[in-house]
Amino acid sequence: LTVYIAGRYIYGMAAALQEPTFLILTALAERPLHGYGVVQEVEQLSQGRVRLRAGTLYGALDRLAAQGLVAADGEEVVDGRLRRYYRLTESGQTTLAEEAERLARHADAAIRRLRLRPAPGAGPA
Amino acid sequence: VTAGRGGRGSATTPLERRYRRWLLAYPAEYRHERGDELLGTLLDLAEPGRTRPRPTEVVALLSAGSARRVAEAWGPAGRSRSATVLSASLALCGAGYVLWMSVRGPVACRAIIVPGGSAQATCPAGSPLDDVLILNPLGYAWLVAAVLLAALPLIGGGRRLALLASIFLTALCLVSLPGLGLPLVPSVVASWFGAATFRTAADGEPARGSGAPAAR
Repeated sequence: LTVYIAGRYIYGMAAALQEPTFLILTALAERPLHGYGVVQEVEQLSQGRVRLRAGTLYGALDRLAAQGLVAADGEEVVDGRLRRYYRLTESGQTTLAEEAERLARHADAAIRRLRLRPAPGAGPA
Repeated sequence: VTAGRGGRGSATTPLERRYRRWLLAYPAEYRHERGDELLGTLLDLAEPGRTRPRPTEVVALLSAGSARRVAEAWGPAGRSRSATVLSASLALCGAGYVLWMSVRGPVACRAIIVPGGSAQATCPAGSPLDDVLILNPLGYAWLVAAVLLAALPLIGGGRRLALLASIFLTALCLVSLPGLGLPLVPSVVASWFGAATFRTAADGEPARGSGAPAAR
């Protein structure tokens, strides 16, 4: 258990944004969206792979709001349903940009190294 | 049950009623503030004609709702990480204990009775239920305490009490598990896994610098 806690702690220090969080911030990058809009946008961004559930989404939004990365941005009632909009804050914008650059660097490195890889069969011994 | 009553003109559908019931997983205050919004999104997400909540949505509500309760009882994520981890792992440890005994049959029964001594003769070669019932007093005390501990944040118990109970139960767990001939490795693996899940639900992803305005 101790090892586990220590592991999580060290991991937490260096941790990147998890994918759903990254996608939520990305979804909000262009314009404010309401909860349902975020789910749709994230699904589209991930090509249908990430389908957020409402509980998960609001858990993430609450956390991001507490960290100051997103903020509520007005609400409306459509068909008797309350929709609150969320926008990316300046801090959220910075965080997302840094994370995107980091991921891009990693992706570049992966592609470069894959190109340098010897053809199958030509490997060592 | 002070969920912000929607009403808002439109008649309440069975789906809405059912989702509203599941929202009880959240603390009353949160439900009051955000219940209508959450419900709106749940209904937006439901395909037309659906009358029963989607099971995956229900699971997410239960997990996020109890995480919220934990956070409210024990302060913001991070401050009580160890207490959360300990209580969740011990609760799972206790659950694994019963489960293991109920599937192992008479062998488990013997293993549990032995440390207590004399009761070995009364141990029937019978049903799994008998095995569960033949827990020794230590086992019972532990189970009750583990369940209480798991429920503590949900019923609003204090953090210090939880921490004390955690320490007590950890000691008890460590002392009794090997002594009772219980499978230590599966119990630890199960509790580890459970704690990881629970912690992830409780305070989400590892926040960069634990909630400090994004480091760097």
